[in-house]
Amino acid sequence: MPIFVIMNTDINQVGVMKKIGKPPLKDIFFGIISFSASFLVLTLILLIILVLYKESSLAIHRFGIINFIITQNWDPVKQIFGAAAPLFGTVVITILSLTLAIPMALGIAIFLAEVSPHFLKTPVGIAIEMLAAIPSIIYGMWGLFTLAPIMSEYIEPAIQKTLGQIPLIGKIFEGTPQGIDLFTASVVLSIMIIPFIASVARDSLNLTPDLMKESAYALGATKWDVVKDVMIPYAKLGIYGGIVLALGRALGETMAVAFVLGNRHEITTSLFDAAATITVTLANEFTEADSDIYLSSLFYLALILFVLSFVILALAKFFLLKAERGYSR
Amino acid sequence: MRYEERYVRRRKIISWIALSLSTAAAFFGLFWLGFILFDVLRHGISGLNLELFTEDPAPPGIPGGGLRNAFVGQLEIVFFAVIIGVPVGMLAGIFIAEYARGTKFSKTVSILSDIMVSVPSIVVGTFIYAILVKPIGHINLGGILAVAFLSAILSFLFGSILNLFTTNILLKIVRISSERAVKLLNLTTTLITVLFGVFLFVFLLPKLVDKIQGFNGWAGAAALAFIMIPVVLRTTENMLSLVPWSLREAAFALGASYYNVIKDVVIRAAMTGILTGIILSISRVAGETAPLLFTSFNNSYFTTNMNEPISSLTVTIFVYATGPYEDWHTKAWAASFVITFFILFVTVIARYILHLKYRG
Amino acid sequence: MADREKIKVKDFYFWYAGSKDPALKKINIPVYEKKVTALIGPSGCGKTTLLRSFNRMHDLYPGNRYKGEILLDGENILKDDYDLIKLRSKVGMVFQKPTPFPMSIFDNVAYGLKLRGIKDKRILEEKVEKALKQAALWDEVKDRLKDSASGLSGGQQQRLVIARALAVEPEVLLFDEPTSALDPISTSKIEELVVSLKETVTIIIVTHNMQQAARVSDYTAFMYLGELIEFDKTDIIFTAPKEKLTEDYVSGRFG
Repeated sequence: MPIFVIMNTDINQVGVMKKIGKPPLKDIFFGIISFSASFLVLTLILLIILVLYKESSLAIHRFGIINFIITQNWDPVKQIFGAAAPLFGTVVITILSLTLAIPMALGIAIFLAEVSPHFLKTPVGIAIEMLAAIPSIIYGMWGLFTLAPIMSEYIEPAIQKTLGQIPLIGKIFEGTPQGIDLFTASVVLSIMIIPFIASVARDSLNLTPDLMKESAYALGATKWDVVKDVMIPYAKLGIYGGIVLALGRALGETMAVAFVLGNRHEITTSLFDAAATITVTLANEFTEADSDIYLSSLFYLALILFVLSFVILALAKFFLLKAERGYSR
Repeated sequence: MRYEERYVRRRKIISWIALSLSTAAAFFGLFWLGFILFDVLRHGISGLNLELFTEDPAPPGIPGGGLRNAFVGQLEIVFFAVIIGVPVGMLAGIFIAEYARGTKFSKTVSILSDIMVSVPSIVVGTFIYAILVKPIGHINLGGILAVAFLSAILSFLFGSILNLFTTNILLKIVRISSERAVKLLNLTTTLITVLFGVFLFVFLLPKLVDKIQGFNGWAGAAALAFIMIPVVLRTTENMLSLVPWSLREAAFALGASYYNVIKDVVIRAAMTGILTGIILSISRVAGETAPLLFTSFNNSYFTTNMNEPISSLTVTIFVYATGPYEDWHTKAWAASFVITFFILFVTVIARYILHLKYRG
Repeated sequence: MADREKIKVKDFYFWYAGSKDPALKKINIPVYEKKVTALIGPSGCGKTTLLRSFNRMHDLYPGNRYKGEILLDGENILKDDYDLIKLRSKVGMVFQKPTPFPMSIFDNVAYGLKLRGIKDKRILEEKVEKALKQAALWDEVKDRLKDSASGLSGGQQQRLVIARALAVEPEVLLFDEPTSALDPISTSKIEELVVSLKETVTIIIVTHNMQQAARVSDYTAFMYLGELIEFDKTDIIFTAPKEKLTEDYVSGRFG
């Protein structure tokens, strides 16, 4: 671009002299601008905590911390609010969806890293990444209109007839299958987080040096031996990082579960019951909050969710950084 | 020896089973993708027609009408989110990858933005609500920021064109040989550019931004920008760090200032990567719903006024899909179809470009 | 010359995936039992390619093709139905760089044994100790067998990898430039080790370093551009080669 031409001739003539004294004015100017932009990023993190805390302080003072977490009541009429039910829902859905997603995602990662014939690697890899690019609201739509009816008609009754008959375990599959419940929400969410885990795990597995794999093969190992004894131990930290990352995502996901969970503030023992998560509560009630304490309690939920996911994501980052350092050695 | 052979055979069988399971997992994943895409396609295509893009919604319960308001609203919100998010993210990325390369500060910013990328987007919505929706009667900082960046970007474009003009036409006609004259010319064009930007800002601000009166489009744009910034920042940082240091040294050796090295050498070398990253981040925020729920909210009427609640495709999908009317469901599917295939198309193209450029 | 032929390569050709020209052309070479055979030649001459054919490492990557025969104790290992796992437990390999697995020192050496179904702890301990002693590493690691193998020095790691290969009692051991990543002291230790190992196993070693080939090997094969130029006893190759090319190479006139 010619705009640079003038400046460049300019530099060729006098630039060297400028280098001796203080930095050129352009550098000071551009440095300050770009610094303020990066400083803004730091400020935003601080600001989000401060603002959420300020907005929820009313509820924090009214209900305390422990009390808020263990109270199951969520009663806008009596103005008593507790986070136990949405917290419970969040934890159950997160754990269940991770349990469903991890084996599947690791299988995909292993397939992409070592099993797949070469010509399939790129297309399958792209397809899995496309799953990650689909907006979460589409997962929600699909869950509501397609998966929920399948769940209530076929899958959930089938589970009740088999697993549901076992004493004790049967308890978690009680009730009339509606399709709008913890179980369906977990399935939708697990499909959504599979690509996150799979792509991080695949990248970590691919970091295993070829020589390392070859020396295991040279000892007479089968492909699975190499995967299990060399590649997975080698990629362990990266895989942990991917899982914790997905955990963070699952905790904070709103739209994929909002459609298929109902919004019921009760702790249930059955996976076939409607429930609430923090995100679903926020999505459904935020614009309806008609009193200060109601709104403040919702902000309080948001604050809890923010702190939780911040800690978990920091942990994921820690694992991934450590893994990176390990590989570069 | 017999035992050993039996054991090896068993191991081979185990290996075969394990690898078959992993293959099955991969095809199971593909199955979901196919299932979801097919479903969106099947339901979406039946609702797709020209009215969807050209007409506004009919009153609730009455069939017909379209989603023009949502399409336009979505474009407007995303446009302003890009106006705020891209410059901030890029500048911050440049700072931590260049001026502050290798310092504690840049590591902190980089790690924190990695975390910010995954912060629940609904929390971002509540945060923006608290500062840009709730304080009714206050000035709308989000709007001011957006207009400021808009003026800056427009004046930057204006300045580039002005420079193009002076170098290609003016300097050809009037021969300026003295170094002082060149400097003077540079100074003048810079001054004109800055003045143009200031004028634009003063002119546009009262026209576009009003005091906060509740849910507004600026808040929605700010929420999406919040989500974009860390993504753009990290992409910029990564792409800049892929540019070999020797390239910068070569430019320094010519006596260039760091600003010129960044502008003329580094950014140019990394431009394809950064642009692709920006496109990917746009496709990501285009599908976001949660942060818009209580910032730009929803509006069943057509509006381009960012001071009012503005309808977006994603929030419309949420409202229509959970609503009671069959016609709404069809429209929600049609909107889902448009948004999904737009995003997938953009993502695949962008990834393909990245693949071509960086081979992996 | 009463040495028995352990391996015989007959009219062997090899093509890498997607390439029309063979990387190895009409190779004929014997490998004598319990001797050290060195493969030398300028880089790109195919010596590593030939070495990796002896345990069919090339099969890990699709598209590679063989023609001809490699006979191990009279049986052609290139046959389609030849059991690769069996082959690789007979023919061990050591690579350019040390490749300790991400596990403890003990588990590294015991890995090949476990793959063969040996679970008895006493037998494992016995065999690991024997292999480590053979690899001249036992005294240095006997007190920290449970430590991670990545804590060892480069030379120790390479001897650990040799011990790992030895533990399964292979009949043939392939060395692919085993000292290229090591310092001179570790190199000389590995060289001593190679010489002492030929009492029990047949060794084929690829090396860049002609002095190394002269020091450790009994037979030497000189290769150039995918072809075998000359094969003979090492002292003949280095003192009175028949071919002009060989003479040029060993006297350092090219390569």
